Amino acid sequence: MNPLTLVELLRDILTIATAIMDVLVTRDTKSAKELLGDIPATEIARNAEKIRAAKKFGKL
Amino acid sequence: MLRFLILSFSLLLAACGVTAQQRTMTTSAVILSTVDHAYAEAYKMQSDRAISDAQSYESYEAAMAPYDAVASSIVEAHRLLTVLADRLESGEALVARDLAITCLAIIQETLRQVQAAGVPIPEGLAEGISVLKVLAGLL
Repeated sequence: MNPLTLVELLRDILTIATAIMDVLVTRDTKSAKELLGDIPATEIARNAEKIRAAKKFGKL
Repeated sequence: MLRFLILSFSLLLAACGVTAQQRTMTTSAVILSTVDHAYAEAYKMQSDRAISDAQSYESYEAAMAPYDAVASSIVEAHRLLTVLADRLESGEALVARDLAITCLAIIQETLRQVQAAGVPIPEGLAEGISVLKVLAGLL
């Protein structure tokens, strides 16, 4: 096989594979981030409880 | 014909690699989210008891210190997984096996701390961890 043809072939393969990965990876990570949420539930609970305790003990 | 075969094989490999990354991120997110919500509930219950028992805000904070430490670990695990998801989203070519090993380490360390705090681990997580181990080539 002509070396130039082989290089073109590899370039085509890489281009198409990269395009497919871009589409699939973008779709995937968005759903993973949605599952995680912006703020962990634990952090929300911790902040809420600190405020509740502070109010009870007259810190707020 | 040869060109078509090589192209098909290459696309198949790419699709497999992406699937592994997809499964790794999604599985890790599901596990951490489950543990996060379970711990948030346990934290509220513990805080209820501490507020009732404590005589001052300082003693409340002292009683909650061990639970706050675990909470910080969960928040950090959440941050790390979000960073990994962002890196994938920005097009960075992460190796699927390395990604799975990293996610597995984050998840296992978080679970260890949650269990050490006496909070029961929600059922059904073992399967997700097995998936991560398969993706990381550890099973």
